[in-house]
Amino acid sequence: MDTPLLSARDVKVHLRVHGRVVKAVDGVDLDVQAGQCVGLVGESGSGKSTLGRAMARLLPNVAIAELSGEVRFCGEDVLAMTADRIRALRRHRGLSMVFQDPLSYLNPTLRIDRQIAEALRHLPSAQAVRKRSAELLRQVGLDDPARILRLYPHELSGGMRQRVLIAMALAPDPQILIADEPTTALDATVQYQVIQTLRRLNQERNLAMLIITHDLGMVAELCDRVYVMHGGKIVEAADVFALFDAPQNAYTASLLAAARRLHQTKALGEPSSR
Amino acid sequence: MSVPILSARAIVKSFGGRRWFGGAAPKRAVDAVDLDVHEGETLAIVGESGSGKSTLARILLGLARPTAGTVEYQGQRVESFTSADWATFRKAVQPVFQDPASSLNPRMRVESTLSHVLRRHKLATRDTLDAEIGSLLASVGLDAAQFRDRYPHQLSGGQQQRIAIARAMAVRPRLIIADEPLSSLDMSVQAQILDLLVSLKATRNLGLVLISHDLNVVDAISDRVIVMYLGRIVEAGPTRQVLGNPSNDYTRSLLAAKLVADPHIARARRRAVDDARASGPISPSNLQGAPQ
Repeated sequence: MDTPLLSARDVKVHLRVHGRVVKAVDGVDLDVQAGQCVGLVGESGSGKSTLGRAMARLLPNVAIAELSGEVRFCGEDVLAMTADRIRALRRHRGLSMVFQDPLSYLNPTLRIDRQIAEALRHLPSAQAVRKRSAELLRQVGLDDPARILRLYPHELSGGMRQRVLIAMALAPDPQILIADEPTTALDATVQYQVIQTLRRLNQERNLAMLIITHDLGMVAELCDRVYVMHGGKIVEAADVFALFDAPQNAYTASLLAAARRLHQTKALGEPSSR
Repeated sequence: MSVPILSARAIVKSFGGRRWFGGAAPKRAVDAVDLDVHEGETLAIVGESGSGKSTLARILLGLARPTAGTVEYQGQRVESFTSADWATFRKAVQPVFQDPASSLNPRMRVESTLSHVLRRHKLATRDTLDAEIGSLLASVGLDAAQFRDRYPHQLSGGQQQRIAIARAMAVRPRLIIADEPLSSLDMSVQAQILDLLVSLKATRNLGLVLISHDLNVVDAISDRVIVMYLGRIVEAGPTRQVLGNPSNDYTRSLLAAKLVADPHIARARRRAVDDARASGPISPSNLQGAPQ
């Protein structure tokens, strides 16, 4: 196979919490190929978010007891990059990240146009910024950009906010988007719209993705490959079909059983064995 | 049919509208809602944020007053309740909320949380209190010796929700009104709590009003379902019928948005979505323009 776009090798992130060392990420290998959509699945506390953040060099604001291993993006070691280099990578053709709670990542006092413009400072004129902002909003399925650009975050619904954040993440034309629980705070129908937005970006722009989630339904919908994380370690990594059809690991099997209990695979309304 | 435990008649709840300079018309969060819950029955109320389902739950619990309409407990209107009637009602109808962390007192150990309720309703004497707490914890699948001395922050989200359910069960209610009891929990924990509710329902003949936006949960547990949209009931009926053969566009869009934990089905469906997109399908986005 080709060199992966983003890869982790033996990554360890040990955090110091209340004087104890928590091995949040403990020796993880993970690859995302160009254009591939990869799922990183686990429960709260499994270390999946810490790993996602470490790969984007956005580490949590707590004391780090140990940070080791290698994260490579296009062959460069992300963990060893200078601050200038990582900033350049985030601003242009690099990696972008979106998070769970869209409201806390938007400035409540600024209209959407100003906030998207911050990600477009490389453009020469205000007009170019406006044009590109509208384009970005259309790409995430917000069809009335002129109106949305003039609104404040509180005037948007949860799904619109998340799509505005995805639009901002797309501003630097990234090669990979790391999305940490991008739909957890959203309603079912809105969640579905955001998932479809992500899927279209993956298919039409060939944007690689690392989707961090506890929801195997979302993984089934979106991902090509899945990593299952438990207690800071990857317990299983497989093609999405192989993982759902024949999980090799007991923990993966228990997650799948829980997901099937909730996302019953039979059609709704059919008699079930309850 | 027998007299329902709890019924709502033409419930309206409006908010706002009393501004200084006229302002906007009051917003009807709940608009002419009727429902009945019978002994041992599970009724699911489905809808998205802003559909009025949580406001309705608060009204059913007697925690909010409707702007118009009445709530009846066993045929008696709650407005005519004496304080003794309220005491009976509170014992018979118990809430479970979405976020267990904020519905448990952070300064009370599990033991005091439960004993407080038992003593308040005179359901245990000093001699039987210990045994009663033990059996309550056992009924929600927790080991009494291990958990009774813990504070809420020493429990996981799923354990906290079990304690909240144990507290509700302590008064041996006939009906539990649960507002999104699973949505703040991890998926594997959701499945456990769902199983717990199913087993309590079966063994205690417990009535349950389950408020949820998750059709999978609704399908797994409920006998009847009410679908709410913008404060109104847009569809109601037996769960099997409503989810198997929905007659309302909004219900259909909720079904279309349901995730399936099977990549084969998910991929087949998304091909169908892509094919249909050209011809203007019924999809959740069609409802986007609806006023909120």
